[in-house]
Amino acid sequence: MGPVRISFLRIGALGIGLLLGSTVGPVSAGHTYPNPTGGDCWRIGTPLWCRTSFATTHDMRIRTIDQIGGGFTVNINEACNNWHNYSPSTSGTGDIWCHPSAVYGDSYVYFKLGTDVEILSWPIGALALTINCTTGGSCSGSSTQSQNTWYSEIKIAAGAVGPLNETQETWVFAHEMGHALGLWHHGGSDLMNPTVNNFTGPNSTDYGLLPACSGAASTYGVRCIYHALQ
Amino acid sequence: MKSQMRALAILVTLGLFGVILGSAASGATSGQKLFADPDFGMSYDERVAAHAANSDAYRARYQEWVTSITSKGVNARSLPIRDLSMSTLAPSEELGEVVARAAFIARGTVVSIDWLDTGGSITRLTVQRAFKGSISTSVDILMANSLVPADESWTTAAISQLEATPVLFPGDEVFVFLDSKDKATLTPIPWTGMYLVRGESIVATAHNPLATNGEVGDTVARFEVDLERLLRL
Repeated sequence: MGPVRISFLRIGALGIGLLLGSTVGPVSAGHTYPNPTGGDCWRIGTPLWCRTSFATTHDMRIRTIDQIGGGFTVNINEACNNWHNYSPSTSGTGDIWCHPSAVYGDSYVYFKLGTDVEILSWPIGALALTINCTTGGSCSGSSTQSQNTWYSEIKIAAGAVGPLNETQETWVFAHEMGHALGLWHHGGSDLMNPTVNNFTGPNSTDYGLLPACSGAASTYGVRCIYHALQ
Repeated sequence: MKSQMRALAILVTLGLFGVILGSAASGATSGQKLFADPDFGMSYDERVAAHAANSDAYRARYQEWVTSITSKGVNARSLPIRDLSMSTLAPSEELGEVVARAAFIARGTVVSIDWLDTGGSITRLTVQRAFKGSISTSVDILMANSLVPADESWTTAAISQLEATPVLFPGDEVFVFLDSKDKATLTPIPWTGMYLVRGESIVATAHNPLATNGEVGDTVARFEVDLERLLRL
């Protein structure tokens, strides 16, 4: 009887394992929040970049790391928090939170000065560039493929950003945060317009419509990436 | 006792196997990869170091890749174009502002693009006529547009393009309005610094606001007359 009992136990254990494995596996794209257990954040209809949330909730937690110096920390934190403040978290989840210090499951966004080599080919008047990096070894400032962002580096052209006023400085950081979250440029009057303006946080275009991912492709917004279809 | 321990070990092994199998099956169903938190368990310093190492490794691999790709020859016109996530100052609203700002203005034909292994590119122009500044028969324009890998295996390339300074391809006839970052470095004025010649007509490059406000879109002859007039002011 002993060997037989073990066989049943083996089958039972395998079954439980299979069940557990299924529940911690990645979620189906386009139907749920970013998977807090480490799933793929890529969703149908989203832009090509997105960040995976590894927090215990479905929220996106960003740790902002100011490596620029020169007193930009306040603007950086304001810019990031403006994404949080706007987000109408109707269901209590899928929000964007910003932290200058460590939080479980956070994702790093660095703010750095562009090096001489990096900004050599930038035209005069270029302000900043966001580079999103993946665990696959890609660090890109353009959307050549769908990818899950591991961390982001926002490179600033100090000579161009320095003369801006406070509002415009905050625009630069909030705009680049939009790229770090996975958004691309919009042509309209909003934060993700590629030229400096007085928006210091996202508007309905940048945030996107409800239901998430509805509307035209250029109006998806971050809600399409990080909020449930509802 | 020994057999019980062995049985327990088997159960644990099978359980873990089931978890892995279940995860894979679920992933296969959704067509998605399973991502573990790459920073899990690391301190702040360890995370920063890991990120820096990844960025350094990318730059080193990128340099080798650009060298490899360009050694085979690149037909820029055949490559897909992806926008670059770069922000800029607002563009000039009048051609007169662009004329006043430019250190160099010239009409010419693009003859080549050199893709830099540090990112960016050099577009070489043979100059047919210089309107402003001392430009020789040829000018090199430094641009933010780069070659980038288009797939995860880095086997195909795309062009990463700054919308404000779109790619000019070999054979393009153009008017360029250039800033001088220093004596050796000329860059196009963003948004309003490049105009294509199409037959006898002038066409502002994509996203150039002067194309929609009536400032350009005229004939080449008229554009040159306007330029000369603005240069006299």
